[in-house]
Amino acid sequence: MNTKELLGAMQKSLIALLILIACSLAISFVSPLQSASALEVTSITAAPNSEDGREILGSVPTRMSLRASADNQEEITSITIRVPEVALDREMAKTTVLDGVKRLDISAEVVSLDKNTLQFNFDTPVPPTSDLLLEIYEVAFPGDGGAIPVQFSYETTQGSKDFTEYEKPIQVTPVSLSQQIASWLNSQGWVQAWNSNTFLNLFLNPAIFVTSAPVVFKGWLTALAIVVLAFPAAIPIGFLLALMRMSKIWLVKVLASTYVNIIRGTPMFLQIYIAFFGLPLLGLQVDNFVLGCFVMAFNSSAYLCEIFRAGIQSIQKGQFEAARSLGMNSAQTMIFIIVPQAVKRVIPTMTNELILLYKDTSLLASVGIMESVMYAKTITAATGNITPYIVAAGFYLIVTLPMSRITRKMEESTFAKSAKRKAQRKKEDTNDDSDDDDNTTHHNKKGSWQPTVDHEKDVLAIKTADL
Amino acid sequence: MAIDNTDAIIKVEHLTKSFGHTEVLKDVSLEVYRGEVVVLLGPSGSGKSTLLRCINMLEVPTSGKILFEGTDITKKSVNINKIREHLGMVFQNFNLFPHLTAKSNVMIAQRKVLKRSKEEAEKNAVKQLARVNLANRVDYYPSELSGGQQQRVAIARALAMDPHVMLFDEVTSALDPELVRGILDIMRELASEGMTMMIVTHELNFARDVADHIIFMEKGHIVERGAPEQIFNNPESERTKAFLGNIY
Repeated sequence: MNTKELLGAMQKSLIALLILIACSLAISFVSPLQSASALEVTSITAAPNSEDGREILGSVPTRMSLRASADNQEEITSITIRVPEVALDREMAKTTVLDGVKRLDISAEVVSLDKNTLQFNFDTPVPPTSDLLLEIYEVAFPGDGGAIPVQFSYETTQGSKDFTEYEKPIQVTPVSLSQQIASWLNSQGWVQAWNSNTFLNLFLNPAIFVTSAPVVFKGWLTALAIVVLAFPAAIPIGFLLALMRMSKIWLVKVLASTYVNIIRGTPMFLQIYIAFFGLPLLGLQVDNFVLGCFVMAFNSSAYLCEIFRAGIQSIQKGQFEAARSLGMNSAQTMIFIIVPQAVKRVIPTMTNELILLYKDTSLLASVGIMESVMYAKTITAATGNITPYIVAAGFYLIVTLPMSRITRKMEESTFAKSAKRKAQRKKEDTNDDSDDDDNTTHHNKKGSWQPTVDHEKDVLAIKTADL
Repeated sequence: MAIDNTDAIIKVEHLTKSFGHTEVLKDVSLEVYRGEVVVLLGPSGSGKSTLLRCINMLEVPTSGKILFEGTDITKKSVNINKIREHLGMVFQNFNLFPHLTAKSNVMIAQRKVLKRSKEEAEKNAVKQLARVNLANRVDYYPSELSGGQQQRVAIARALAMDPHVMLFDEVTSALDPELVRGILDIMRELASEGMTMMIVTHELNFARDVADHIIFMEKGHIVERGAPEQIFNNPESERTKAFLGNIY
């Protein structure tokens, strides 16, 4: 091969190389927007608004932000953000443009294209290599949560780009109905007016009322469960104690009296502490709820003991004598004669004890049993608002008010019922032509006569018994 | 009605009873024969009622013996409930069970103590209530009945147990005078049927009519005893004389 041939080959390849470069250059100049974006969106996020600061809750207003950088040679003139199904308020939009760490004096006029779309029109085109931060406050995502897609588009001095969906949708955690209602409430004018009053806001904040109700309700169920388990358990224990206290055997009597006096003579709060902190130290691990039921049952049994004792002792001695003189043993006398009469008399007082027991479940909050007060306390600690306690009070009243009403009704009906029956009998008697020595003339007078049953005294005896 | 003087159904021997330091019965001895009507008379506080209540052990005697059909019922080994089945008692204050109807009052001990069937107890209850003229009051509660009616239910309740002896403790004292007669008539009828009875009463005419034997007590002692004619016509003790004189 000669030198001329070699040169010719080199020339050919050089030309080919040049053509290649020219081609690639031409391509790059013809379609500038396709090769690299003028606007590089780095993130579209929303600020976490849950209590633990980790989640984005639906329904609860939060801040949404779009971060981007103007990458290319071009200047950005406007950016449009659209979030389907989420209302965006132009009043709540904020624009920040940075060049490195320097803030540029560029602001944007925000236009609402429709309910879900905001367009940021910059007063000065955003120069390349600057960073953009667009924020929209008070954005409430749908309450049922899910992945919320965000779309954006922008315009440069040289053209516009169509809407594209950002690769990472915003993950929104669904919220409960109550929280949705609360958010709705908070957006209402009357609620805001209401909350402007310090007292109303602090004690009866509507939104907190709504959000705490279902939580406190859970605690209320716990309290009810404790009562439903503890009270029926306390009844037989209390009855047994009452029998023991009336026993003729000295030791049995002293045992029961000591127990009753200690329980009634010490605060329940202390009893709860002793049980809850003492048993674990003894190495006994009992479930909190179960232990709570036990403490309540044993406490209540002491009070029930005194109620039963008073009830039994309010039955006249003659009833015991009549039953025994018929050959009934003491158990039969108790079961068939005394208890049926005593039950009637002690039911109102027992209901009072039930109300007391129910209210006392709140003391279990001190050892961490999740009942109404404990839940209310948790919310109050987080919100600094007293409303949850008011809600808890409401839940207590739901039970206590009707119960005390029932008690009063029962007390009244004990008298009313017998009076009604008596009146009915009197009517029957007038149509009764049977031969009866003391029927017609004296019946009315004697009909209501009760030998030595002094009802008022008996009732008083029962009422004072548990003082 | 024949009284069998060899068959003492109740025999009280040297009975004393004290409440604390107060001696209510002092060395009382007596016998009640089968078919006999014994009336205990005496002023208030003389121990008549306590004596009657000792006989079915509602009061536990301090000392002495009480033999019922030959068994010393003061002994701890005796099942007193078994004895009481045969000792019907009627109280001054009726002591009906207020939560039960008249019929149920009469039925309950038959059912629970004598273990009679419901039908049997009910049949007997209706029969006993009819016997005391209360057939039309079986479903009434005690509070719906007059005092006299309540006392008759109480008598029916005791009779339903088929007692060997009936004890009446001032059964007419809580009643208005016009209601007393009905109760006394029933007791007379029982006496005429041969029921053995011990009666504490203040109705002297009734005592005179119905008694086979009268015991006059004062301050825990038996002061005098005998047939009604003797006690009423020729009382030996001054105390009896004074008592009967005061009342007549």
